[in-house]
Amino acid sequence: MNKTVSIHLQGVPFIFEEQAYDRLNAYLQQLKQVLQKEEGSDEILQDIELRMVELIQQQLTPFKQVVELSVIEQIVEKLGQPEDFSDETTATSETASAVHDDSVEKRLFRDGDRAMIGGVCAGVAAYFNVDVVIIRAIYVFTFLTFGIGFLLYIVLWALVPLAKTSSDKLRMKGQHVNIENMKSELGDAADRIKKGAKEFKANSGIQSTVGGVLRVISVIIGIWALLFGTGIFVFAIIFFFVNPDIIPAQMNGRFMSFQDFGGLLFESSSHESYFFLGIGLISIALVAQCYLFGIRLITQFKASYLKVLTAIFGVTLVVGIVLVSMGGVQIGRSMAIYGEVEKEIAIISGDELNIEKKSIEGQTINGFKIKSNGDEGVVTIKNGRVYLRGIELVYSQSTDSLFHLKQVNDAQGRTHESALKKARNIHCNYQVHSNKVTLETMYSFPTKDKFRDQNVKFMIAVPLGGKIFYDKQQVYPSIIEESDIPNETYQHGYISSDGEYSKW
Amino acid sequence: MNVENTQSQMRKGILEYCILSILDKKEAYPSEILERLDLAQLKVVEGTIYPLLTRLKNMHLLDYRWAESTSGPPRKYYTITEEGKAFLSELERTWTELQQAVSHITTL
Repeated sequence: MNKTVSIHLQGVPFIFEEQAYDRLNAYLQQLKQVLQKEEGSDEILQDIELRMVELIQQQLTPFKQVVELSVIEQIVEKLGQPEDFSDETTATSETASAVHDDSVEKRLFRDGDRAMIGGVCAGVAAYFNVDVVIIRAIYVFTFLTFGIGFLLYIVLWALVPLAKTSSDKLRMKGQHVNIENMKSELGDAADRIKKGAKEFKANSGIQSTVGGVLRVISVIIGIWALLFGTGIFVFAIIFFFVNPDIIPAQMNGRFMSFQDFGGLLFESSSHESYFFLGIGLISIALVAQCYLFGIRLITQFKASYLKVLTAIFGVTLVVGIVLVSMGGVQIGRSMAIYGEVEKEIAIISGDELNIEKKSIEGQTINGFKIKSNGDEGVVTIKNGRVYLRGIELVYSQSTDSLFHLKQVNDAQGRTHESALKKARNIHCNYQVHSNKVTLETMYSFPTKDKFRDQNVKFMIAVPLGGKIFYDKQQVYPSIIEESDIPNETYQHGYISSDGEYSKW
Repeated sequence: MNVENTQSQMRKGILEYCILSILDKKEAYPSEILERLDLAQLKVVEGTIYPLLTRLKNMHLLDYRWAESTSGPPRKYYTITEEGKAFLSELERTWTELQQAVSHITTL
């Protein structure tokens, strides 16, 4: 069953199959285009249409009243291709080719069929043979960034003609104007109309514009995904191949790289390589996913292999995450158990204790007096030892009339033994002279111990009425705090890397 | 330049002469002209003759009249004018000359 169209040719009524009608219409349009240079083209067309009426009538019988596509095909074959019609072609082949070239030349038209506003973007897209959505997204970008997109749009809208005829539409796309193209163009148009009618019935008319807006938004997100993917890609390349020394910690006089830093966290190099392999897989997967996502959003391309790729890189991502997690779990396990060791340093009599940081300030080198203490950063690695800064002071009430000074080291380990071992390995320099304690603000442990939350505290038991001074400032009992909270005693102090004392 | 193209160019060249000759004998509408050409086994792309007829008419070599048809739309009967007849005799002379020249050359 086929849909029919009722038409009349030179006053003679016919019933056409829809496809047959499309074909005939395309053919006549094409003839019109070819013959328009000819003097009296209307007359020629009239003659041809009269001939067509005759030929069609010959094909119809009382049992066959509808003109089918095959009939039109036969007639078209009999009458010949439009190129043969032009009388000009008899003159010279040069003019023929000139006419030919002219018909191929691309022109910028506005595309009313695919228009959202004035069809400018659609026309430009057709001219450059790219997806209209890309042009729209670029337009939106230029509009948002400079506003020139808006101006340009208005100018183009005003200057560029709307593609009205089928041949305009073909020239808009730069296709050869021939009957085959014309056919597909008209076929497309028929499909669009059918589809449009359906959608119109299903939704409201406005929804196609809403759909268009959503489409533009999805392309913008797509472009963003591509940029994001590129960003990850660049970062991954730098991370793995350049491996710059950008961790702000010093190692043998230079900054550390990611890999150096990783070496200070992982117990074994195999764990480290799993971790970095995992990071690599995650990077590849993320880059690929971003690109696939972006491409799918921009092109609306729904090939099954895109889905397969998405699935493959999804699996890659999962594997990467598992490997990284394994590395994380290894670090977690090697830091699971807490160990603490303590050592009695000194017992000091008297009612005050002076604590001072060991400083090179004031020393003289070649006649110059050193003004600053030299901050080497939070982490410094040299000669196989990791140096960290910052020392905690803990005050408590003494059970007798003496100051008791203890050093307490703590660290984390896989087992209690390893934690204790790492704690014992922590070293902190101090000197005790009568009632003066000189502390270095840094402590160290061997690099083979790795970072296992090593800390150093000095526990000071203060006799009743005893006072502690840090850098000649009284820090215990706190004078300021006393007026505010007279019954509370201040328990903790902290000497940071630059030797600054603060209440904990 | 292929053979078919040359052949079609040759046919197109003499088409004008043939049409005028047909109409010199009897007025005819386009389908009749095509029928005559077909009988003579002169292979012409049908579409070619319509621009040609119009051009000849615009050159006042042909004239036409409308006639009712028993089946279908009215028919456009083309007739040759006095000018057309003069033009035709010129063509006849040229054709004879050409024919002689060509046969002379090809039989040498």
